[in-house]
Amino acid sequence: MFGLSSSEMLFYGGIGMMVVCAVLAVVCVVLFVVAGRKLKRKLEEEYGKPQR
Amino acid sequence: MGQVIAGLYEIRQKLDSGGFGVVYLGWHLRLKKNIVLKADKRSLNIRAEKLQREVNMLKNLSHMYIPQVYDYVQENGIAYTVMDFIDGESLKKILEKGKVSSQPQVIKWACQLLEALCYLHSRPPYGILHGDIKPANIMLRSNGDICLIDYNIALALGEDGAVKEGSSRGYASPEHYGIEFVSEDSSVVGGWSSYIRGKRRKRRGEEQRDEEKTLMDDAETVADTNVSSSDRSTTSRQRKVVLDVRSDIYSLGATLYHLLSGECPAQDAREVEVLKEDVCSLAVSEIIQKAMNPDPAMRYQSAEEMLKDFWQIHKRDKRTIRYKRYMVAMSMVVSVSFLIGGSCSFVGLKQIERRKEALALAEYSANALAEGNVVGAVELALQAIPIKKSIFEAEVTAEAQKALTDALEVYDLADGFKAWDMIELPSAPFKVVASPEGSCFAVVYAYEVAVFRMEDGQGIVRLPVQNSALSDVVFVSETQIVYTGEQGVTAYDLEEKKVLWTGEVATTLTVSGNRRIVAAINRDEDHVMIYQVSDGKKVMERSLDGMHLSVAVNDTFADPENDIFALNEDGSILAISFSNGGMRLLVLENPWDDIIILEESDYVHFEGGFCGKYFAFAANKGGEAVFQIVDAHEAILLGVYDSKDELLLQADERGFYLAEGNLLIHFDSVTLEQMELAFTGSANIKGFSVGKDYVLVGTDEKQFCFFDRGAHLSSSESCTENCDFVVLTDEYAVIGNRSEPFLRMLKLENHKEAQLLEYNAHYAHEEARISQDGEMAMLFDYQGFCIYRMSGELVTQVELPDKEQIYDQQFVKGEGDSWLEVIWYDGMVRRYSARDGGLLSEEVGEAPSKDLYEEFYTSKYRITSPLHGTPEVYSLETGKLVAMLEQDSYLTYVTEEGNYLITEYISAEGKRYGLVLDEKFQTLAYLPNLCDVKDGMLVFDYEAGNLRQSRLYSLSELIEMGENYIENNRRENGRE
Repeated sequence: MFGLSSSEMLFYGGIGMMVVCAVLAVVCVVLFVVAGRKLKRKLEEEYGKPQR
Repeated sequence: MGQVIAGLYEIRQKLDSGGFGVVYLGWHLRLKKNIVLKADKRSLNIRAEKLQREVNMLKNLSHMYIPQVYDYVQENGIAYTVMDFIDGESLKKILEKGKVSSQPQVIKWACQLLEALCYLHSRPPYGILHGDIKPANIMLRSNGDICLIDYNIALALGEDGAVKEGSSRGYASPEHYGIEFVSEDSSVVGGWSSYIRGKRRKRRGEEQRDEEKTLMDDAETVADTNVSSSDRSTTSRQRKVVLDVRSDIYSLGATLYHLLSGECPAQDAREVEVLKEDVCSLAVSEIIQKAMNPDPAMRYQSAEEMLKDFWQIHKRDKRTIRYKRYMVAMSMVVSVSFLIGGSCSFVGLKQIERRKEALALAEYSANALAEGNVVGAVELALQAIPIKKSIFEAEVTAEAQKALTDALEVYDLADGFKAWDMIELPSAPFKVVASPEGSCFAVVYAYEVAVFRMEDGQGIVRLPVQNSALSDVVFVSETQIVYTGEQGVTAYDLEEKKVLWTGEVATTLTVSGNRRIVAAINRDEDHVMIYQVSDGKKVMERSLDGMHLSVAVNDTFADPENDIFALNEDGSILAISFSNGGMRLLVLENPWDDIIILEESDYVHFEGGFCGKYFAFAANKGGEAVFQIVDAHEAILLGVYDSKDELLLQADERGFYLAEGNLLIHFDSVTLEQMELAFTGSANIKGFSVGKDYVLVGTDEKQFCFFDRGAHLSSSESCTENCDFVVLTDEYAVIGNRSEPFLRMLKLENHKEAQLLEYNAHYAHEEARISQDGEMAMLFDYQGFCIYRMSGELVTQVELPDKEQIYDQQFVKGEGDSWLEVIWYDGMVRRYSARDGGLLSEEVGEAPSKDLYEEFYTSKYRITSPLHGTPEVYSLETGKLVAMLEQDSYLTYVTEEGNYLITEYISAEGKRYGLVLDEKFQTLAYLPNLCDVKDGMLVFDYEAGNLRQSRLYSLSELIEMGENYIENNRRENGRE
């Protein structure tokens, strides 16, 4: 496929997968930070600030 | 001024009163601050010491959410407890105003109350119960914090808990009413209660029971309750029970319940309705529900436990849990995916590295093979193929497989000399000579002579020689040599490995044709010693009258083959050339009969020798050479030949061999008739050796070639340097040069076992095909064809008409029959049967295009083969170009064999060969002289008149063959 040997596909595929994972990780971090803040705000509205 | 108590506290205002007593707002006369004075009603009923003890204990309490107790005084029979005045409003009043507190506020208060309870419950020695937690006893300060007040029924817990003092309806736990609820599913049934009961039975005395009774009677808010329900999850028993911290927890739960809902919880704990989500969050409701569980064992067992739940209310919320689960799950997925990607990348990188190593090894293998180092080539090719398959090993490369196939030469079935072994020397050789019967050979290098066996390349002996490049060695028999040893001319027995005799010091030797006489001369000395081979006796010393061989001042790099120094058959005549260009035939027995061939000349290089009575020599100088034949017995010059090319000449009992430029000629020993032995085309012959069936020639184009007796080129190979030494025996050949310290050995191989058909080698043809039934072989070209049975019988030979107008020929294998289809430019198509050569059909069609263009189809591909262009492979499925094949050759046929494609070509030089291609069109094997593929067998056509066949070897078979080859080679050479 694409004129690549299986070893090259493994190598470049692995790198591609790592890159995708890194991007996904960044996206997840952003999403979780946003969602976390939103949730924290909701919980504080509901329960008040954490007592400890 | 109001009433002053103990001279220190002024009562100013009555704040509250109840069953417990009266609470006053007081003024501390000394500290000038508001205080609270609580007149304890119990002081009328219980002993003052007990009250004193309790108050002393309360005085030691100090907590942010608990008022500080300062003093305890008795005045007029009333006990007063003096404590902090809390400026604020009780939660009861807030509730009475109809205000429902927000959930976050209630949680904050709950935590503060629980902290206060933790403090109280943890007071030594057994903790303090508040006993009456309710909104009325919780003050809300102006700063928003609460304060737990009113210790009217606060009691120190004894070892066995505390007895009931009083309670408030709805807030009091069932234990306050003396009811013990036990859950049927409670794992701690009888836990606290049974423990307390057991202890009490043992320790409580009558006096205390009386006291309990009194206290019970004092409690105004306690209502008689007789609850019994068998259909509920809890069962109740009304009996006297002691209170513990869980009662406070119940009361706190009830207080929170009221604060959140605005309604006081039901007095019966079992009838308390669960707070709905419209009132408070589920998490809060659950905490309150647990705190108010009728069964104490099912409640929080401590204030810390309940406080912890409030602290963790954010974490315990389902949304937080769900959020964290998502986060963990995503982190795991991303991390694992990243790791998998990293692992794949690492493995791929390792495989690429291994692949590169394998490609390099395959290249080294090809180089080793080109140098004649077959063992090295096979070893390197095997190293390029991963045997022990691991995850880091790349797939076997086509290059590695091809290297192994080439090194093993499994598809080269032609008879001939094949690279076999390589012998490493301490330094580059000066001379190489084979024994008379070819069982061993000797090589002179600086400064030793070594003798090796031909059959296994094993060294027999190494002997020191003179420190001169002129040092010499000759075989006097198959097992004896004479060499110019350090001590002098030495005869050595190779079998017994001992010196036979030693003569005077010499550097150059020659032996007579009958191997009985040896002549020796030392460098530039002017006398020749003649020795008897049998015993080393010097039979003669012949003076050269001041003349000597042409020897350089420093003979370290001198060419020992520059002069003629040769004895005739019986050793009676010595031919010798001199440094002045002269040459004589010395008649050893009678100097008066010496023959002066050249008195003096400017020739610098002489070659020659005797054959019977004839002596021939070639003398060379820059761009000019002369060849002469002399009858040595009659002293008659028989012939002279001048040439502009360098002449090389050798002589033996079969005649003279003269090489001139690119031609090698044999002069018969009797008739002197000439016969061509080899023709090397554009290359000039630099050395040759004539064997029984083959002639070995080294050229100035760094090649060596084998010719058969018919002067046909049998095989040729390249080498890194010109071949200065070519030695040929019946079965072996040794090749070397003056620059490299090793010798290549080749061995004659034949492949009779692969023989399919032997035909007349003189029949010229371009292609050979086997008929579909496998019974006939057809050899054909544009001139005609001939048909052989596979038994070797010639069936027919046919000449084609109008040969110059033939456009193309195709051998067609039909079902049951095969034929040769010949197409002429005018459109004529004739089909000739492969069975008997008969004309099957003749028809005139459209004239074909001038350009020869063919197409081949396999199950997946269409392969085009233009006459002038590179064959192209197209996918049948997509129609797209997927590969290009051999560039400089014409593709003649394609055969599909399993996963392999076998392509047949004719090179620009007219050489036929085939290639085995894998699925990626990479070359796995080179198939020289491939002519057909029949039933999976490769058929090879050799000019010597042979059709031979071989099956296609799998990689595992090749590996096994390679390993066996290495193993056998090691065993033979004793290298293990």
